Amino acid sequence: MRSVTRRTLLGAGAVVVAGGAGVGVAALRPTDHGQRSAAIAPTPPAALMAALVREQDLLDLLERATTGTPGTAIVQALRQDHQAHLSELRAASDRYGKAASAASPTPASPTAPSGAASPRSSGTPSSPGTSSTPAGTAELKSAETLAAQAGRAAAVSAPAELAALLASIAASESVHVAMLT
Amino acid sequence: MTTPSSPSARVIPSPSTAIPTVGSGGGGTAGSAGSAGSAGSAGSAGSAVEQAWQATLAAEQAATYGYGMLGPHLSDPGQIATARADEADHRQLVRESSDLLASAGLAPTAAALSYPLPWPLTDPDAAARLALRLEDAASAAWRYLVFRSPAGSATAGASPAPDGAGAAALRAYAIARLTDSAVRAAYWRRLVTPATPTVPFPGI
Repeated sequence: MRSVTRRTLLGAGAVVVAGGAGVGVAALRPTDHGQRSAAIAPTPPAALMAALVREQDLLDLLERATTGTPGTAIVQALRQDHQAHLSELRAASDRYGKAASAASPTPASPTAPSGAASPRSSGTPSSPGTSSTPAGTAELKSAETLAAQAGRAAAVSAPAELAALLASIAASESVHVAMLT
Repeated sequence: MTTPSSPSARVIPSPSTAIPTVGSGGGGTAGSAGSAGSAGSAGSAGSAVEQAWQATLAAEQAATYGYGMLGPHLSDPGQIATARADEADHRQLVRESSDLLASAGLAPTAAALSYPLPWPLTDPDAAARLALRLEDAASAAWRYLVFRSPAGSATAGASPAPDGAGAAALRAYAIARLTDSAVRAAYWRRLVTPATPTVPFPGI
């Protein structure tokens, strides 16, 4: 067994002091800290990416629902809500850094960053982009129901602030279901 | 877990609280990724979760009182029936929340004898506006509990509690109650602000 010598202890102490000094310098240089944070920005949670896809899908579906018609007041209200959802979710995603923004999913490019679950695995309605048939009330209601269920399920295990956002969006979608009934 | 006599039990909302205002629950803006996940950490979570949970009870108590006051001012049979059903829902939630808090070893906050009304109830419109306000306040309280309750995988059969296996059940419970309040609010919102029948983020 290798004995612990005074030199070893002094060496270790020097490392600790140097490390401590480094931490101190870093703490006094917020700009550097910010750059480091950006470089190692965490991957957005899978729940966030899946929610982005759900909202885009719902917006596309609502677009089909109103194609060629001005749309009812309710459908217009629903669309405004989903646009607000998408906007807020994108803002949340942007906070994770440019990597997340670049991966902002659309039905045509459902790319998820490494480590994120497939957005389609969470009960998202099937992509509306595959059909040009105008969406009916039943289809809208079904899609809103599935989105609300998926959002509630995701909110249970999401980080706190994302959970509150997902829960609120899911509640909004449940309201939509009630209004379409 | 906090015992009923602990210091945190004394910082629950006062029973004399007025009809809560919308958004008084706080909960932060949606989705600031950097701090996500910090709200429900162990240690300090007990008091934060407990306060949020007690606030939902206080909101439900205020809603029960408020519906009792506004009901007689409604005239439309459909609105009266809805108000009665909503009041019953809130009354049930008061019972349920009190029981759950007690079973978690916490002292449920007591209801006030009366709550100041935000405006005089002089006609059906004022009554409908109050119903909307009560539901929005309840939504805000439940959303705040979602924010404060720890994350986890939903545990089938677990009773909501501020820690342990019940924590995830508590969040799931709060999520469901937020939805319920939002749906109830939607009925009144269509009457009060027909031009904007929905809000994108209930509870905010």
